[in-house]
Amino acid sequence: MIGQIAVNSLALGSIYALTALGFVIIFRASDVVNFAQGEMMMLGAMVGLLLYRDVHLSYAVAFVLSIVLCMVGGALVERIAFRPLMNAPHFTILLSTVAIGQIIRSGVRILFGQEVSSFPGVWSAEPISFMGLRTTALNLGIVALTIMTLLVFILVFSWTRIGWAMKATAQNKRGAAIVGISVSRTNSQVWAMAGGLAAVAGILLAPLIIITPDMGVIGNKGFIAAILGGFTSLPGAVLGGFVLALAENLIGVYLSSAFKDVIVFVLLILVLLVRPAGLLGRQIVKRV
Amino acid sequence: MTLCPLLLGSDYLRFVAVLILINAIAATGVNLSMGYCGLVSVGHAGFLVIGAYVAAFFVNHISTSAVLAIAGGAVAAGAAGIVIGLPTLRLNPLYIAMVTFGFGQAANLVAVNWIEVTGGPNGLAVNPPTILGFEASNTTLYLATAALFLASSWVASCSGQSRLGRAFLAIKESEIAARSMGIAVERYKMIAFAISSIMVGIAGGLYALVSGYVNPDAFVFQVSVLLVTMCVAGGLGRLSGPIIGAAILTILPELLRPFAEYKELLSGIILLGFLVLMPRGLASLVGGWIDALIKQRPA
Repeated sequence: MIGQIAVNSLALGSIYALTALGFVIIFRASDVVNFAQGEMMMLGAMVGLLLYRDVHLSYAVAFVLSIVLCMVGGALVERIAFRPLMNAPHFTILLSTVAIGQIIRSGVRILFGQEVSSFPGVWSAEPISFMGLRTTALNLGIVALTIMTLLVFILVFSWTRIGWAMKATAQNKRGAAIVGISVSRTNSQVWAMAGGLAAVAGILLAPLIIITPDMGVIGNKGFIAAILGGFTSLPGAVLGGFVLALAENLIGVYLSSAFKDVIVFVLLILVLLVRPAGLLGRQIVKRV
Repeated sequence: MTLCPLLLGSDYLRFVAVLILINAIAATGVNLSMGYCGLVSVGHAGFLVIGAYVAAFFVNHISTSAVLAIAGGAVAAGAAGIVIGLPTLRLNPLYIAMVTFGFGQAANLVAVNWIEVTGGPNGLAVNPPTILGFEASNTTLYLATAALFLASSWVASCSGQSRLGRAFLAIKESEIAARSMGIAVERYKMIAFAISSIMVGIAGGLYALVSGYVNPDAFVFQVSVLLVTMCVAGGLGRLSGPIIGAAILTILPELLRPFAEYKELLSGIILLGFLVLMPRGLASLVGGWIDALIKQRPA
């Protein structure tokens, strides 16, 4: 039973992990929690749906194109909501990302209406059995694409100059600027990357749920996953995503599915009480 | 100024005027923790939920007294504020934003799912309350709202000018500097957050009694954002800020009723516009004399 629940959690966990990663890279580079991350995810799903269903592009092309568009969107958000406020207090920037999220959500609702649409299945949702555990091609596809995305992500982060610049900026902005890294350009790249991650998460999530302008609230889960993982650690974010999905499913099965999200929130408060730095994070210490 | 609901002829205008006062109480609460002390909350609608449903429960099941109902809602909201604040206020200031966000969602989910008590998504009708044993007419409820509005502004004004307010300001400017001057940062943050959640709880209770009906849709995430927008548009950290913001952001959607679908978009654009272009809010233009007016006439 537990094994089956774990397998069921993999697809959802992948999506949480990708969203959490978006939160964490922006936080590390820009010291901001981007509350528009969920809306970027919704945007990715919407754009993917439009390109695939209405423009009749192939799934792969629609997938890549919507990632690219969301990367542009992410960079745009950085330009509008972050850069003019770079020297403002933290909470001003946080609020401006909340505002951007609201603008995206209501903009999509005005353009496409409140109607719900579902993403036509690319992989079948028929159950497959393997060693006594049941899953579907759809879930396997989601996990496979997530692993691919994570590999690309690791590759960019560890082997390209862009990735090094991101790491350096996250460690020390002034130091990075001194060695010739353009911090503002790096910021814009990080936000673009987070937009791309959100798009992947959105498109992968789309066949599992219905698409509405409000589906961005799932970004909330990525956010909780990021807190669980520690909010400063990239592997922590991924781990947090899977742990959260597993915890949710366990609670849903053994306790109450209606109050699942409430119980998860209580658990989050408990985690913060016992281990504020999360699973793999380190305490954020401000040096004077 | 606060008595003008009584002068207005039509019931609709009166209702809008009372709504402004209720929103002003809630926004004053948000301003106290966010504007004075720098604690960002994007989940204060959660305290509205608690205040409103607890007040509704009191009136429907325990006693019809409006005073008891609102006090019950305020105490429950304050208790929730303390429970949330205790673990999170010790941490990096960002955590309070994250946790209030989750709290707002969780409170709303409880309202949607705990059907036996809250009536679920359909909402709950609130019985007519009584004040001092008499059935409360609209007029008495409006008077009560006005009184509570003055009281909350008075509390905000007092805490703004006292040792408390100076401590809040010091924490907002620099936590490290405040701590090194011997200010018990955690304790003051807790006080700010608790007062703030109590005020928002009162606003929730008033809303339940005045409108006679509560439902979860009235307390969604967008409402938390709206409360913050009121503070920012009016002027964060100023006494008159949330009041001006509440007036504008309550009237504007009513005027724009034919364009209801643009309401959310508009409030997003207003928030962003003020943050980028006028971070000190409208009160920085006209607030001086309003501040003076309120300070002269404490409730």
